[in-house]
Amino acid sequence: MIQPVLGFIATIAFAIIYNVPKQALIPAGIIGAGALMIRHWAEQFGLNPVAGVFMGAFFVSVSSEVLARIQKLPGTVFIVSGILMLVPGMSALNTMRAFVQADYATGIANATQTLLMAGGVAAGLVLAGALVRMDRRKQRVAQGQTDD
Amino acid sequence: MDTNFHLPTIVKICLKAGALMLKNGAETARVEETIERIGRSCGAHSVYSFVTPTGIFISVTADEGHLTRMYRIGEGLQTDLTKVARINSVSRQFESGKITVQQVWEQLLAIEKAEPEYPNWLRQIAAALSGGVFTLLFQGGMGDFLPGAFCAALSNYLMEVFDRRMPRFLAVFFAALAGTSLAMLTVSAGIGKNFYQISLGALIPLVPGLAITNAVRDLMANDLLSGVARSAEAMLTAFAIAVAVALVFALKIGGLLQ
Repeated sequence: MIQPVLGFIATIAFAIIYNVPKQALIPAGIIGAGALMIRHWAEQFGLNPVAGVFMGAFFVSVSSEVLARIQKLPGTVFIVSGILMLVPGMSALNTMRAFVQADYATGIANATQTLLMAGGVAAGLVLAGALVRMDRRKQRVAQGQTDD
Repeated sequence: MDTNFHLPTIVKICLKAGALMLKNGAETARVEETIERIGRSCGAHSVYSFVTPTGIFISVTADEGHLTRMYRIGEGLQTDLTKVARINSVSRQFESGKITVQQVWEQLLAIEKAEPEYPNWLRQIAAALSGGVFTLLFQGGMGDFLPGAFCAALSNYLMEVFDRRMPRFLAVFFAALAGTSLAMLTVSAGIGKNFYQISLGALIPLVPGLAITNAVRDLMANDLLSGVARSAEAMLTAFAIAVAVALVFALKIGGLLQ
């Protein structure tokens, strides 16, 4: 039960570092806590950590775009701090530890895991973003530019 | 829609809005969209903009003819997403005709001069808090909270100090070096227990979160040049952190400083 509270606090702390507007602080914190819980549950459920961060990033992106429309703020405002909950920090540290100990096999394994998790975060963002933005993109393409 | 504005004025306003957004952490597509929105609302026939993380090129056509300008974005940026949100809403108000061009210009200048949304001390405390909380999130003990918070505050503060004086990657390198070294010292001194958790707390304010997010969003929006440039920035920052960490881990594991 302590995990979501920690995620909430950490996300709000990052939001303050990035100077996120005051009205977006609490929603951003909830998004961060949600992302952390999804990642946690996915792992408890026996899913690969990559799948966990992918689902977390997907959640962050979708809920951020929805909130961005409600509060009329840029989506980035909600995404940047929430996504930091999913950064594979421990996995990256373990990679460096293994390499420094000249345990290259473990190092490569950890590095692969770290890269896959980073890719999972990116993929979650991309997929959700692409789905949410489809209508807007169509508008912009149709509008075009009058050249002269 | 008022169309009595001189071309140089339109271009000036577009560039100011775009540069401010880019410097404060907006993604490329949003900057281009805002420039286009403001330019068209001023009565320009066409507004083409090409935005990269290091410069803005815009080309505007109006009744008077055609004008192309470029603007170089320097280093030493501070992320302030509140400013991005404010410029975004100014451009939308202007488009819907609620404010005049003069008001847009005045508001842009006011936003440029405005203090960051949160005072510096609060951002330092937030950095410390994020570091401390991350030690707990990754199964550190309660005793690791304070060392983690202190190391995070140190590395965040040093990054801000160094960022003005040297390239971003070097600043991150030295900040990570200092933060991880302090983590090692606190463990040696018996103040903290879990070295790896405290290191993680020390490094978390340095993670290039905004660069990663914007890189992904730029690539997704087909802004390939900006996307690749921002990915390179994020990769180099991550690499700088990794080298600093490897250095301190080598000392720790080599038994030089127990």
